[in-house]
Amino acid sequence: MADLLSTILVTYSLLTVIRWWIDWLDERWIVLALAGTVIPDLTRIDLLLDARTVEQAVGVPFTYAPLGSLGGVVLVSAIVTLAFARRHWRRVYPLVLTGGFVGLFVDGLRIFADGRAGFYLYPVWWRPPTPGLFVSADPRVLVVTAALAAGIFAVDRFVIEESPGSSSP
Amino acid sequence: MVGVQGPRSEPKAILCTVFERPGLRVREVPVIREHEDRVLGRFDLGNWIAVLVELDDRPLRSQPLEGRLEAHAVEFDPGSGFGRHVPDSVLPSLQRGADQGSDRSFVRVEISHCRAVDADGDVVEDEMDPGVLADAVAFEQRGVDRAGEEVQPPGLAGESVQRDLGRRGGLVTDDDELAHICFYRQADFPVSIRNQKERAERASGMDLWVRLGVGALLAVSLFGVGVHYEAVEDDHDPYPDEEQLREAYEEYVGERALLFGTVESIGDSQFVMTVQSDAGSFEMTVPENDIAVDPGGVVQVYGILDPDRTVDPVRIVVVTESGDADLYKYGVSAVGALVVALLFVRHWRLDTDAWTLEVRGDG
Repeated sequence: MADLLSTILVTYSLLTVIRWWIDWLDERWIVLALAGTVIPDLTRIDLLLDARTVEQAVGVPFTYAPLGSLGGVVLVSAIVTLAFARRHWRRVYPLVLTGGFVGLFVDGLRIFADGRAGFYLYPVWWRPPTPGLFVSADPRVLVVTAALAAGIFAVDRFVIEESPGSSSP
Repeated sequence: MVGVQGPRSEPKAILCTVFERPGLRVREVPVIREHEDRVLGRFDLGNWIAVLVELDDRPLRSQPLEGRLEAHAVEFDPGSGFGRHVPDSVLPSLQRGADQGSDRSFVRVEISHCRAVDADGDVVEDEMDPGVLADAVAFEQRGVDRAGEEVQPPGLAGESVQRDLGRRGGLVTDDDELAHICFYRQADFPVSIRNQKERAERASGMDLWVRLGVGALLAVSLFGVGVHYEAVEDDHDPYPDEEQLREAYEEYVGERALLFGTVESIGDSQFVMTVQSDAGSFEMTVPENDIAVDPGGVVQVYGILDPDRTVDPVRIVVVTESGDADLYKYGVSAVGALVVALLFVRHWRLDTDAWTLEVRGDG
């Protein structure tokens, strides 16, 4: 899994571009997608509360791995959405979900020695091929994603917003 | 007491007396708080729902209701002022109330047409007209002593005094008890901030429990997914997992495996790595020393399992060159989480009335 900041920058870049076509998608909504990006990283709860400890407590096998999968993102996004006022649900859920999917997608790009990513499409038990672009702690990932985000930010701020007839907020 | 036509959510929600005369929007009517139930019990309100029953004793405390009634007792026509919807028992009740002094008083009913209601019946807050508030507040601030001047001269019983604020799109403040009522007309809906808030609180109370219930259901589902994943993963994983290798390595000799390990030592022709499993860690030897990694670094080894806990590598990937790389990854990730948290708090807030997250600056 790439560092979280890099993944967030990818989500920001994606949502900023989408915003060029969707008027209401301002910063407050984009933030929700950024928050959704964090969901796959919730597997790091393991650092605080070991899955083994949970297993011993409840007496059944258990893993946090689904949090970093399609099924887990769908469920956690729904739980997150419930925290919002009902009138926002139709926007919140797709945005949080989108952020979670970006997190999964970026994670699926990293290197696996056997050439296939993990079961991040669970409940579909299939390990999709990975292009193997980076390892999780590669600092170059942050450099690239930061450059991408900065470029899109500049276009958004100085080209899109200042163009005649722009409806961006 | 003013009724409006609209969906009625409770059988005895609020007392209302119905007036329906074309063009007549505003009335001044007596309201007696403690007799609401009695009157309600004798009325079939049908689809009519009370917008508001508001009592404002303050402007009229110096004007005993008794005096007003006496002045017109001869011409008093019971019930006519209510479109003959008021039973006779109301009048004695009214009289008793008047006899008890200034605690019973007329209510001045200010009516302004309200709009700015969306399809759900919620107020479109952007359309609040501060001008209405200014008028209403000014009215109240004229004080007790001058309240009598504001009351329309007592006319015949049943005569209604029209006071139209002359404004549209008016919401009223919570503490403005004189201008809370408006008629429902087509897209219009009776609105006051107080009424809306009360309805919202009732709805949000139920909504909270629904959300908690669904949330609990989803949380249980999520836990179930965690159990399911762990229970069946081995059936789908093409490789033996770490726990299996720790407990019964020899059974898997000759199979392929994908291992993640922390490099412990690097020798002349091999390196040793520690592999973590749920059942504890174990060491694996990899006959390869041409790797750019220091002890403490993390590697992936994909290869064939040989005897004596040795894996013949097909491919080795260095994940982190040293233990410091993990610090970098977690540090940068923490920065990312912090940025998101700050941005989130900047744009969203917790509404403790409904226990929901709301956009900042959106009411």
